[in-house]
Amino acid sequence: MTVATVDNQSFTTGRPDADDVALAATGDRLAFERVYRAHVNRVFAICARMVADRALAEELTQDVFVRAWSKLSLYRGESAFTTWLHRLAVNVVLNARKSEGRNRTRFGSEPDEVDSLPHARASSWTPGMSLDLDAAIAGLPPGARQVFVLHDVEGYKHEEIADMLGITSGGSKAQLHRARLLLREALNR
Amino acid sequence: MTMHAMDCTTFDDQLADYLEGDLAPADRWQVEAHLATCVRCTALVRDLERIRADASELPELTPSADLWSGIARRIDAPVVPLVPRSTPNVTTRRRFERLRTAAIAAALVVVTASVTYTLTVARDSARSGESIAANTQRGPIPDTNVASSVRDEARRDTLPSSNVGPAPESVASTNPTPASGRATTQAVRNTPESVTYSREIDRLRTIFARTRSQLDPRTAAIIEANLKVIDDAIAQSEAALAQDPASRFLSDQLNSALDKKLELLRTAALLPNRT
Repeated sequence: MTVATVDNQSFTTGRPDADDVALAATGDRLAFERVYRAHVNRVFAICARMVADRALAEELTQDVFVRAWSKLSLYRGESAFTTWLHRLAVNVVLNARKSEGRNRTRFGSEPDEVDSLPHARASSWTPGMSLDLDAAIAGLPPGARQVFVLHDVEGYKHEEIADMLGITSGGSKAQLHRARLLLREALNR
Repeated sequence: MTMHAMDCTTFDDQLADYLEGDLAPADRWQVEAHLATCVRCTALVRDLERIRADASELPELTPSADLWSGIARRIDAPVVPLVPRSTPNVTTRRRFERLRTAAIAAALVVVTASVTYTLTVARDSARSGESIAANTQRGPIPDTNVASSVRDEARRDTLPSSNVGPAPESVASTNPTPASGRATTQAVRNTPESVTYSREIDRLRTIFARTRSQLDPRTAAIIEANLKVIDDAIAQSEAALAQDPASRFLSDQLNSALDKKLELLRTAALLPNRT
């Protein structure tokens, strides 16, 4: 299989190719670009939903792929590449949120109160527009939003989320329930 | 809303666990019984399950622009080509380094040996000069028998308690030594250094004999005891040097012992003036 053939296949089908991952792990930039194009929308979606800011999500998406490029040699294929990459994306987002500057200025540092309702905080959502689920998610308080995205959107278990966020499994369940109730309220307006 | 075994408030409290499937069977049965008759709670559960289902099917999102160019810039670290070296290959280079190291080591050994030899000779010359200078500074040297050797003087010089006078005599005629020792003794005897030692010792012995009565008997006894120790050391060095005339170490030891004897005699000669 030539590189050109793999290139064309990946770009036309958009499907990840294990060969591309393997080639990218050896430093093949063209193969890595194909991996990027196959996964960028999914990675961007994780970032955008977790931070509720498209511009910041684009920066973080770039961070994810730059980090993936440097870490790809460590990928052993023990899990699906998508699982590995999505977990990497989550880690990049969470680490960025811990960053002092971003945490205060861009991720929002509002009190994560259970009784607060979704508000027009996300740049992707404007008051008065018909709320869809994505817009409602963007309006969730950060803690509830992250748990909801990780659990209901990305399919992580409470134990995994608790480990990622540094909270308890019960705390994750409570945040999830709170997020769902807030979303229902926002969607039923 | 009709009355049920479980009211809506209790239902709300258990809703999260119900949706997560964490309720015990009995509790779950009560919740489901409540749902079967409560429109409000049924609508709530339906909405929440719909949200969960919709969330799991949310579509991918597309960035507003292609992000690859930014990523490519960041991962495209400048590749510095390996410039072919004009130096020899690794094997040749290693061999050259070994030779260079060996040459440096050899040069170091030569330099160290030369410096050591030079310093040793210079020290010996300086010591000889010092003795001569010291002797010169102390005034005219008594006109003694310069032919007597230092060793002969040291061996004979046991400091008689009262009358000690310079009585140089040729030991060569009374104290035969082995051929090699004789040669060494003769060689030392004929050097200016030996003459200087002999004269100085004779002069100091005379002074000490004259002033001894002014000293405390215990002090004089200590000086004599120390001189005896030094004389023994001189005798041992001389005997060893007779067996190994070329030994610089033995020669140094003998000179050192003679120096000590001179120093002690000078101290003893000056004691009355100090006290």
